[in-house]
Amino acid sequence: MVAAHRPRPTGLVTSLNMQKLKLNADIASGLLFAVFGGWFCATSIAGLALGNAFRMGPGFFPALVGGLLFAMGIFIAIKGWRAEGAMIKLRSIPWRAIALFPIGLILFGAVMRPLGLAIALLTLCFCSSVALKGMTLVRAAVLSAAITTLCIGIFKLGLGLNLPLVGDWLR
Amino acid sequence: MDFISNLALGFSVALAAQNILFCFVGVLGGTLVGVLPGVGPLATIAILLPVTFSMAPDSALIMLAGIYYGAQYGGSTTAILLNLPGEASSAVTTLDGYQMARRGRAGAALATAALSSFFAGTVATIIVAIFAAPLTQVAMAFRPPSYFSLMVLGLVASVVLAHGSVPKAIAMVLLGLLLGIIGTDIYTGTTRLDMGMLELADGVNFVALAIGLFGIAEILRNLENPESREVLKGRVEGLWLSLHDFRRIAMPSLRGTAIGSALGILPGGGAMLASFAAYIVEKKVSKNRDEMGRGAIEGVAAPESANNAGSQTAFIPMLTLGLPSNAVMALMIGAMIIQGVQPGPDIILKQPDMFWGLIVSMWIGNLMLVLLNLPLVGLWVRFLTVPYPVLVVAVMAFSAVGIYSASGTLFSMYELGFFGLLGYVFMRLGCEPAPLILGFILGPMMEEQLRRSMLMSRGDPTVFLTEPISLSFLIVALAALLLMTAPAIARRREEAFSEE
Repeated sequence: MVAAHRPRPTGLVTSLNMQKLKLNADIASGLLFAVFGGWFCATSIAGLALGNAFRMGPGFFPALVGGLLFAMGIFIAIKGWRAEGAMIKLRSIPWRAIALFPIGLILFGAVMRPLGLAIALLTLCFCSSVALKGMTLVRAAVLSAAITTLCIGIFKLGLGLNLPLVGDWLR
Repeated sequence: MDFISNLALGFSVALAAQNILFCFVGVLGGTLVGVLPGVGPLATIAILLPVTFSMAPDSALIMLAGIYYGAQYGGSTTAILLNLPGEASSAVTTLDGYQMARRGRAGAALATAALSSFFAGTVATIIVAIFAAPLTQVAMAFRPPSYFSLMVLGLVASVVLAHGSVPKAIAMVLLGLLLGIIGTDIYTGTTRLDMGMLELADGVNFVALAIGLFGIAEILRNLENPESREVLKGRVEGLWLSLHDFRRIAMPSLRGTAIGSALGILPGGGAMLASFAAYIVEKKVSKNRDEMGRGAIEGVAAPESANNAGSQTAFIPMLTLGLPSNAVMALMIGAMIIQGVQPGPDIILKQPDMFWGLIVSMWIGNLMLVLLNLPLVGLWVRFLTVPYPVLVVAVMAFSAVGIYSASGTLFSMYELGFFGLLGYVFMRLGCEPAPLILGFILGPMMEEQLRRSMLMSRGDPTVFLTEPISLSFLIVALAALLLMTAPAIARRREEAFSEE
């Protein structure tokens, strides 16, 4: 399984004012965790009743766990700062898919009510397929039509899904 | 005999016409998606999860369990024929399985995988049936502090057994806990941590989280390296074993079953650990150990029986305590909660038909898999020729339709996109998503048990240390964590995981 692969050591080296700013995978993930933890902790303390240890309010547990996550993130980042990080290969990141997959999903949800399942699926499939390498518009269109037909067959006819095939605007 | 009457009840549920059908659909769908490289059991279950929402709870669980075994079987088929493990737990099967296939013994390897898995599945099902009820009695005696500490132990175990860095896995668990408690606080009714979004009042959409983290993130990851696969040419023949082969796999299967059953029960354990352990043991004790790694049939029988046994006994903590021992079980618990079934010790009393029906269906599903897999292996091999773009687009479409049909909101599509990207970022940064899912499921339960414990003790946190059961769980958790961070063991752990 690809997901289970040990990730290659990654890192991003940017030069800034002749100074080397390290940003390897440990630093980046540590900072990300610290941001998440800090947000949860701060929001709970600022906006929620903390209560006390005897009767905990809604903010007690998130403030506690958020604080732990913040500390853990800082720890990971410091550990990463001390270690040497390798260059990240930005080129290997599938940028087109990263941009187009969410757009396709959101369009799918937005189109469903007004235009219906068939057009929503076509839109999503088209967005996803043009994100792939070596895809021409014609092949993307054929592929989208085929997968749309397959999905309608399985979900609509096979499982009796109650999403309208044709939306409100088209009826 | 209680045991017999329980099994009889189980058979009456599992053999009901619609449940046999759902079990069959589950194992078939699971095998189909499991065979396709790049989509493992976690992604498969997550993507097919919404399909089960319209069913009765017992049918839904039976089908999900079927998808789980089916995907595992599919995983070993690709391991043997393509040298590509469909999932982590069949990684060791590639070592000898693929070598057997290259020597023209693909049929024998597939038959070994199927038969030793079936044997292990049968034994493990009996173990689950025998031990589940008494363990439930034990669990009933747990008070809130023990429950809380047991969850801590489970989370620590999932951290220890995750790949990669321990601090990152701990951070993923903590993030999961936090994401899990977004929404309405059950004690006071206050909405919390929802960033002002009304849609988050019921919490983060579990299905969107699971599909995003496992399904979409995994596809993005796969798009990084253009994929090349080489399908074994020619027909797969000789799908039966000689008497000599049977004699060679008997002991390895038994050992694998024993190892797998034991490791499956451990929190954080499950199929992957079991298959690795069984292979390593076999390499030490087998009469044919020199052949291991070069196409020894024992090298297929041991890990395949172990991973199947482990994946079944992993149901024990889930069914008796309501605690998931690994990410797949977390998905099953998520499905139960969505179905309105609260997992935990009372399930066996309140819903004995569902409980025993699920257990018996595990055995029936395993039987179906043998029948499905061996004669139809040619068909599965054909699926391997599905071009990758078709797979990617189909997974996107399935995920979207699944989530939209379950929630009916545009917001869930935002969530799906967000967690897909977040999951990809985490994978890139060397953080495994499985501990996050465990934390997400356990978050609300942990908070509840913590609050109850503190009410009980009038705010005195030492209650976790004065209650004996709770203390022993915490000691084991601490020991596991210290052991894993000890430098010598950390190095060996690195080696064990890099073997993949």
